[in-house]
Amino acid sequence: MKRLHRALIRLYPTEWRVRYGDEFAAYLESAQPGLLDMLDVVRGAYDERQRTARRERTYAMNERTLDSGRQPPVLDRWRWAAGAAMLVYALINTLLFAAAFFNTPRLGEEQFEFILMFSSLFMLAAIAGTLRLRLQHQPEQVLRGFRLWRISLLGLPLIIALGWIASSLPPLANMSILANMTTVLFAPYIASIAAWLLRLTVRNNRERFLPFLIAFGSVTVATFWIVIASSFVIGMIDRNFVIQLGGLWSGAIAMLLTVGTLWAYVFAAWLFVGERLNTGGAPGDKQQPHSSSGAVQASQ
Amino acid sequence: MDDFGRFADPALLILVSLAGGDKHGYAIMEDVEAFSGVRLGPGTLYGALARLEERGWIEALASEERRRPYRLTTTGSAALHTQLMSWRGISAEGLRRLGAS
Repeated sequence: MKRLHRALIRLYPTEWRVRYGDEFAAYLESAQPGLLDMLDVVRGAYDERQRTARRERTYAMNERTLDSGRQPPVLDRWRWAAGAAMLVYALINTLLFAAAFFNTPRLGEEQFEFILMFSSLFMLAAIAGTLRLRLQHQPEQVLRGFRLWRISLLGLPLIIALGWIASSLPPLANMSILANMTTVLFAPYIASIAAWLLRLTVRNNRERFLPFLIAFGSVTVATFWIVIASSFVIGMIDRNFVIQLGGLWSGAIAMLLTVGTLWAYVFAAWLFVGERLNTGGAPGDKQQPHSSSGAVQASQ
Repeated sequence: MDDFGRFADPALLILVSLAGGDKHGYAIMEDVEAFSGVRLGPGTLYGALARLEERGWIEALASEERRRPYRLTTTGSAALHTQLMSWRGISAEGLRRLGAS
């Protein structure tokens, strides 16, 4: 039973456990909680995590407010909108990827599943991690702190694998692979650019425009592909048409991503050179993205 | 207490309990059940305690073994008084209207 109690207490955030964990464990031992009590603990842990997250968001927002001199009230909504848009894109892209592979007779199902899973997980992790960790900082700090070699090294096996497979595939499937490869490798940079655009937008007091644009774009794209998929299911269009459309779509996305990525590389190189000229040293993580004075002021 | 969300009612019961003397978590739960018939679940009880402590309405005393008693602070006492007076007004008005109808 003690093991169960410990497991329940672990549901709470660390900060809470440090303060209340010991006495809460003693309480549970005395109270001998039943099933409903345990559910109440789970709900309490959820509430506590929400409260901690709210506090952290408020703290981060205070820092940003002090940095920029004004409060960006839609930042969280922005983050959700951007995340939702990325997710819609990732799902659609994954479906297209699947369609292209299923139409290639020389590719085994196991190979396909492995590549698909690796590609999707990598892409989603890269996007989510970038948005979560980098969105709060300035774009210069995003790109300066980012390890260009890390993402490239991780993506190298994928490039080789995809290149090998692509050599035996029809052109449309190649386009789809190219789109995915580009996305997987450069998603963090694209997300960094999105974060930069976000900050620009917030600063320019056009908070309502870009979230609307992203939401509208996501819904439009999703609707378009749902219509296509539905038409295919009811037999209005054939499989080849879907694949061709998917190839065109992926090719267009790949071009956009490539342009964005090139821009990000140029920008990063420019920052790197500028940093060298100004300080005589290489930029790195030693630099703090924000001074702690903001937090001190916020708490005063 | 409006921003306590679902912990508002449990917090009020805890304050009433502590108005009768210092108590640790388990004793609070027993006391609340005795005087109100409401059994606070562990997550609810400690969620309310954390919020009350953060607000400064109760304070933790030194641990007795692993149990930690809580005490009502002056601010907490004033807040409880205000809340109860508000409730008394509502209660009196409700009873008056029921009597009138």
